[in-house]
Amino acid sequence: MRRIALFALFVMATALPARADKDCQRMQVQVTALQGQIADMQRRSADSLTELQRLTALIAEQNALLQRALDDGRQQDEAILTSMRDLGDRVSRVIEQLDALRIAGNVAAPVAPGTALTETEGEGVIDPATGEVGAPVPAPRELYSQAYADFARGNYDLAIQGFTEYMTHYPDTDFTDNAQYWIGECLYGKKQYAEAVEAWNTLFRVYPSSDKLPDGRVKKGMALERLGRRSQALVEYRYVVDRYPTSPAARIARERLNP
Amino acid sequence: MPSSAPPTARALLALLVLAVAVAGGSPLGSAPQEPVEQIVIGGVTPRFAVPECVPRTPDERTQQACRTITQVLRNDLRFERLFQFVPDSLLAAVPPLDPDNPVFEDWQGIGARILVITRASIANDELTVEARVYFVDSGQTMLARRYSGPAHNPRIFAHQASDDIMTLTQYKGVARTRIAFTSDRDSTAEKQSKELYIVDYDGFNPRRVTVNGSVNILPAWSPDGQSLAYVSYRRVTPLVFLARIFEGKSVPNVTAERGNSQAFAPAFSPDGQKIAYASNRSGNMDIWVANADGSGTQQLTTTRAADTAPCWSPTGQEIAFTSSRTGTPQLYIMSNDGLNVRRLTRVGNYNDACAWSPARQFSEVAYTSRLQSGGFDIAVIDLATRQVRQITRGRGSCEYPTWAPNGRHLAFSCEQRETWAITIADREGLSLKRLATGPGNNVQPDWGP
Repeated sequence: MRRIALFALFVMATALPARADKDCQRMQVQVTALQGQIADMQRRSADSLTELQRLTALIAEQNALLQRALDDGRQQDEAILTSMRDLGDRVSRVIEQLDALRIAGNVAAPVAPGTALTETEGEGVIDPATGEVGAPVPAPRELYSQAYADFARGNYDLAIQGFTEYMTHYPDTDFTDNAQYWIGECLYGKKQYAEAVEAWNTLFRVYPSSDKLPDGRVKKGMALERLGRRSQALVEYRYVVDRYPTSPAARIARERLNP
Repeated sequence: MPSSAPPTARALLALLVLAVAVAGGSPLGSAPQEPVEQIVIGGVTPRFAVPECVPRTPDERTQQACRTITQVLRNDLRFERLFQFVPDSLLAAVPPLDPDNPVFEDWQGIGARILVITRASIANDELTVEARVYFVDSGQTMLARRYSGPAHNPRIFAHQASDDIMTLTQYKGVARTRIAFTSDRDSTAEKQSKELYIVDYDGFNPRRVTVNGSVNILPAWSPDGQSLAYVSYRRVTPLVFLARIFEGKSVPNVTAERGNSQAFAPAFSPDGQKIAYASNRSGNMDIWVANADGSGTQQLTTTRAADTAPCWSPTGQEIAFTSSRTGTPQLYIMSNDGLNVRRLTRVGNYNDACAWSPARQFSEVAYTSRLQSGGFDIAVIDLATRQVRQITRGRGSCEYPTWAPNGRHLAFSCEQRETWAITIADREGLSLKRLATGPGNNVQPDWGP
């Protein structure tokens, strides 16, 4: 019995180191496996980084292309806008010339059947209050151009008078809103910035579809800045950037937002 | 340019000193009378009698100065085309003039309404000129002035007297103004160059401004007449330079272009605070403005078309420029912040190089125009009527108009017989004449103060 116990002790004593060796080997395998995994992860990470860099470069390139396209679009928009305005001006001028010819009696205005025809004598304007014939009203283009010429040479009061007269006599032409815009410009030229702001407010209120709105908004912003009301000016600039993002006025508004 | 004043600059400085001395012409003390009437232009043209200047001393130098003063004063007054003049044959019929006691009946008899009497004396190399203007009908003195200064250039005394007489009208005289221009007269076979020059408005007294042997073009006066902005290729790339002509100093690359970007066609605002110019720094030729010292650059136009050659309105509120945004080069106007762009010209298939009249009386823009196929002509568009009038016709190619400071005259360059010369006309296109500004091809005039 005692021998058996001694044998068992001997076996146990010899078996323990063998088991430790196995554990050690297992651990080594595991470490090797882990090292492999880490290397693999590092490799994949490097690959990912390269891919990330490639993608970043690609995005930057795409952004640049997009920006260029956007700029080109803006530039084209600006050129198209100028051309459209020019075309509109020319059409308006032709219509005005036709109107002037009709007034002169050279071209009969289309008349609805049954309409009573009235004769007009001379070119004077009859004052409804007195019934007297006053001074003749200049043709629309003449009146408008004269008012602008007065603006250009700094005769702002005369110019305001001319543009106001234009709006009174020709309240529904393609240039009526322009005349209101120019009144703002005249007041701005006179350094009467608060009055200029009001003139442009009138433009926005009375002619909400005027093509002068983007420019008028930016000019109003500039007048507000002159009055020391920059925070209100910023609102005007942001409005133009949001509402008319491709207009030339928006470019200037952006510059004003980030001086 | 070197920092120390070169001989040309020193000469210019001396002239400036003279100009200042003469400009301080004082009212005559012996018989001072306040001007009582204005010469009204319109209706009957006033008829002037400008008899020979009377020398106070009989020496030849004073007599020569007097002859020059008479001739130059007559030419200056005639140049404005505002007055009639008693012909020389009738002047000779008048008994000898006593400058202190003119017999107005004599002058009435030959139809004169305005009598201009000048006297001159030279002492210690100083010339003194007295000028009196009388209203013949009443015998009243309208103007009495005395000028004194160095005697070497009597012309400037006559110019000053003429400008003072013009103050009696509603127009400003231009007799003391100068014209800057580009010329190849000092170019050699070995070295092609273009330099800037200045002459008096009548073509006399030419002076060279740039001396760098490169190509210097497109001069533009500052409103105070102290500086010229211009384009120079001396750094290969065209850049805007500033010549402070009376200091003999030059400021390079005023608009601070970087890399290969170029700057062209500078133009001072009427208050002298800003310079408008064309630059391709954004990758395309656009209109920019900067403060006169080059700071605060601001891009005004951004279309893909080339926008060039800006010019300012007399108030400085607007800028006209050339753009080919709708195909052919045409003139456009915008406000000085880049807003409100409109097309100005429609007649002609190539319109360029605008010059906005500085006069308050006339609202008009001159420009180079190709109205038909072939050469270029000078045209003026009236902003009030939008009518275009052609200033030149059949004089060869003409370009680069510039207004006299009173808006009553234009200068431009015309090519005749393969030579370019500065030519002058009045604003209606009458009285065209080539200015004798010297040899070479003389182009791109800019009429300064």
